[in-house]
Amino acid sequence: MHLSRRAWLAVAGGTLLAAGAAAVVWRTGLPGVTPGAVVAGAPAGYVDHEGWMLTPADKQALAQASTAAVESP
Amino acid sequence: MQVGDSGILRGGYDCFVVGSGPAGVSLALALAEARKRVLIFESGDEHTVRSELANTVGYGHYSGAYWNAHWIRTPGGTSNVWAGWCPTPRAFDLDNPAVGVRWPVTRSELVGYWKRAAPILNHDAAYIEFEAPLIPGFRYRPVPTPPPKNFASSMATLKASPYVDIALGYSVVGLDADRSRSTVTRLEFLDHRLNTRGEFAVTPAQTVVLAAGGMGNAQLLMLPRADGSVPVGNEGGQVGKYLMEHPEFQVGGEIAIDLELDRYWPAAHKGRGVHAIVADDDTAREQGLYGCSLQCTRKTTDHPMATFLKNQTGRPFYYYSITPRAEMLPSAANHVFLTGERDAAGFHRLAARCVLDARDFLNVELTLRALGETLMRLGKGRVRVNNDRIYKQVWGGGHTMGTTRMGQSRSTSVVDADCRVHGYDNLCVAGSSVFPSGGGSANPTLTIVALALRLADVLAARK
Repeated sequence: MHLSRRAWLAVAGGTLLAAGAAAVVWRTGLPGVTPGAVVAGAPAGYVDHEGWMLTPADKQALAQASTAAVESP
Repeated sequence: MQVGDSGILRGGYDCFVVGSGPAGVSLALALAEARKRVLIFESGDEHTVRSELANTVGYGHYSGAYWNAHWIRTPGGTSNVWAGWCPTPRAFDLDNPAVGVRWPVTRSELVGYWKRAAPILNHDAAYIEFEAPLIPGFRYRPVPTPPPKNFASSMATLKASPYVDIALGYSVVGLDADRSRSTVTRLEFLDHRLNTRGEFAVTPAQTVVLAAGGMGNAQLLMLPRADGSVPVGNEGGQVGKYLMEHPEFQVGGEIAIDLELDRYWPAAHKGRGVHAIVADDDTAREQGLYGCSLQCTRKTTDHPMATFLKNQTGRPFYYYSITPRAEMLPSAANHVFLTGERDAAGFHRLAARCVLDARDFLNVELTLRALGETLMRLGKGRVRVNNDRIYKQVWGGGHTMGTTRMGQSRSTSVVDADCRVHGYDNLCVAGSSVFPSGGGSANPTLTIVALALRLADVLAARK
């Protein structure tokens, strides 16, 4: 069977898309898994500071406060 | 009356109850109110805890000593070490198909029995269902902690009842059934004081109720028989399976929040309680969560995170340490089984295998993270997730559940929705061993007593 380059690309792309969709369905179908985190693939909405879930601004303010504390006489 | 002094047990009982813990005593007293004659067997007596008969080996996350500390063979049973906590499962906790949980008893049916059970446990029935909205996605659902009821204190009432006899120092050590395995026909007991055995012929009109705890009930239904046939009550091979605890993670989390939780505790309620936050049903469903109560204690405004947030916002923040108390998913792989070693009563020593699933740990972490993300989004607080305390320091509530679970058929469970052993007319089980799941993270005693009262209604209606 002879397929054009464009047709091969379409087949490969379709296969990848289907596999990706199946993986998402499989992961999100498991009990206990957070669907949002898997589907979106976005970074977590928090930063970590010794286990505390903080905003980046929190962490920056904590770092500044810590530096100020060290620098104060 | 107490039997044993004369060495004579009377006949003519409507019901034989094995065990004098919360389930056995509540059942017996309710049956006595219905003028049914009851004989209670209790291994221990006023002066003896028969600890040599509660000697489990532990495999997995909980040691044998751990299980044995909550298997008390003496009048009052496990209520001798009970702390009095009385939360109720939510609808979601009893019917959550996403994690394979569906109780054959509806919550609306249980509510009436919880309210009847409450005064027995020194609890105020008006607060059985208390909860309050806290922040979007989460609710304030405190754990009521009335003064713990020790059912050993009910012995005087039992002895005074004209309908109840109590055989202290007697263990039931054998059950026989008819050829069709539909009726228990004989009950064998051991008199510990005299070290002699005796028996009762059991008629179809009489009922045997096992109320010997999560370990003891399974042990009785796994008793090997001399002829090598299947033990009475274990025809479906399900006895011992689905052992569960309520995993507990001391200071698994911390919270700094701009809400003072004391304000949510109902002012009219004179009882005590532990502050707790739970995901609401929508949040739990969206995020695939199940039972997890985030119990908040040790309030202070002096914690560095509370101070930091106060400085940032100008509002007061309150710090609490969080002990998540959670549910573990039922699994047939978690079970109790007989070892080759025998004790003084001839029982095979039990082994208990109980291993938390990865999802059980993840459920706790994700519940904390969902709360943390919500508080951050609302600008109302921050949460700390103590990874090592969740994943490496699991403890439990001392709750032995699920070894004779309730369900629709013999192939998946041991008892039906009425707590009757599948296929038997006169063999029932009372206690948390019938729980098909942990009922969320709710401590089991209130539901144990509620189900015992419900079973009493079923048995009292028998002609």
